[in-house]
Amino acid sequence: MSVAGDYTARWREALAGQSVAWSDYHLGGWVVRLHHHSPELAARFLPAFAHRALQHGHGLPIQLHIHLTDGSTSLPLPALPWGTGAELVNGVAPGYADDAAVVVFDSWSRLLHVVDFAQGTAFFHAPVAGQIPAWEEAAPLRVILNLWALAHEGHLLHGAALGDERGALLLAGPGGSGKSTCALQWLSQGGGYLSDDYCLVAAGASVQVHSLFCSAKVVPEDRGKYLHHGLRFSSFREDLGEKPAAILHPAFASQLIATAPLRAIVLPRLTGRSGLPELTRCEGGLAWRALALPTFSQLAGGGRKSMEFLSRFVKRLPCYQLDLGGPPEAVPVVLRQFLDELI
Amino acid sequence: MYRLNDQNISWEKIDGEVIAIHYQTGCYYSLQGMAVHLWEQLMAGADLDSLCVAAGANAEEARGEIATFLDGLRQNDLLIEDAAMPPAELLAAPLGGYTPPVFEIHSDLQQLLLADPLHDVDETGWPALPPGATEVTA
Repeated sequence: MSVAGDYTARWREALAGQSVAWSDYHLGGWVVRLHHHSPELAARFLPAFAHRALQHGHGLPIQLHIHLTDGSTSLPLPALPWGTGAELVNGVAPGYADDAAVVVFDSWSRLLHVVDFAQGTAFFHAPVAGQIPAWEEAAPLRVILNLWALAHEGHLLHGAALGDERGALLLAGPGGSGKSTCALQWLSQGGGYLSDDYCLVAAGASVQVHSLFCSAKVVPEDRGKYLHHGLRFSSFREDLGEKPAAILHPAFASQLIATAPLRAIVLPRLTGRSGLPELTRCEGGLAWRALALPTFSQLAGGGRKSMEFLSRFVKRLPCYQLDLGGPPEAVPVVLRQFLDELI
Repeated sequence: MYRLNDQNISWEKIDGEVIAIHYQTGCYYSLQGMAVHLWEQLMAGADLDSLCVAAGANAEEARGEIATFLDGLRQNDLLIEDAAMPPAELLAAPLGGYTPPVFEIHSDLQQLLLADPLHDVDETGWPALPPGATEVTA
């Protein structure tokens, strides 16, 4: 057994026979069960998945079990397999990623992600549940879901996905490029919504985008605009520059789209112009750059497979730049017209 | 003759641009125009002489530019010399005629692709908290 497989087996053994609360979700075409060994992590994570929750007794086979644990879990859980000085590349130490299992550690947030592909089992561990970063609460378990997707011709991507069952656009770009603003405008004008920050894409016979999280980042001063919808907000640390995330379910349930064929990649950028937003065709290399850096920095563990997926994915869709600068309210009108032309 | 250093490199042609990533150095490379044409020749097994023919470049100056391009790819470890490669079947010269081949080197992914040592794992088996990280409040 590989070192990754051996470490994974230690986690399985540590949690074997434990009966805890669980909840099931339909995520990216898979039925995923979250095991609540850590009630606090469950309380923080579950709202973001609420739009994809399955009722108990649904009868569908579970494809992925994810166990949520934290330092207060009253079980002898395995410690990190590495000590000081271990060299991690993109969160992974040599030997700890193979076709059977992957162990990823984020040394900044101290979150451990372990995936056993053959067993369909994963483990998420936070030493202190109360110290998980805001972005983990807004879009939980990204690393595990991404590794699972990557093993099944899919990938999580950093971008907003907007549209309806007939087709969607993926808005990609660095923080501050206008993605979230576009997504919130789109939402507030009644548009179908899959994500503002992370979504799952599957590149099989067609390119499909799936909604994983029903959260939307807002700047703290704009929280009041959305409170009248009765939304709840995830935890955040303003002093660390974190943004609160509004949980859109159930207030916007009718606009939350589960999946859609992806029609194009759109790269918003803020300009000094004052007219209507304008779309122009651009080369796929720009989209690759817009997606590669956040993909690698925020979705550790994918390594070479991740980059190769990204290159293949970008080639399958037309790419456009969206010049922003005029009234944000005009963005949904322009995007809707554009999407209708593509469909 | 040369072959791709495929143990460390993956590459893709996207809308006429070749993007190649080196997983050991963390750099990625962008090739456009003539450089893409020559890259495809190299992947098919071309050497310097056949590159010059494929580029439609006869002048000594052009040969020097192609040699420099080739050296750059080798120095950046994208290519490995391999005498066993079968000779290339040349593609047609590009329609626009010869232009000097260039490639760009990008290092903005470097810190993400390179090894990052774990610091200060304590007796619990976990690294210490980063500075400023304290209890998150709702």
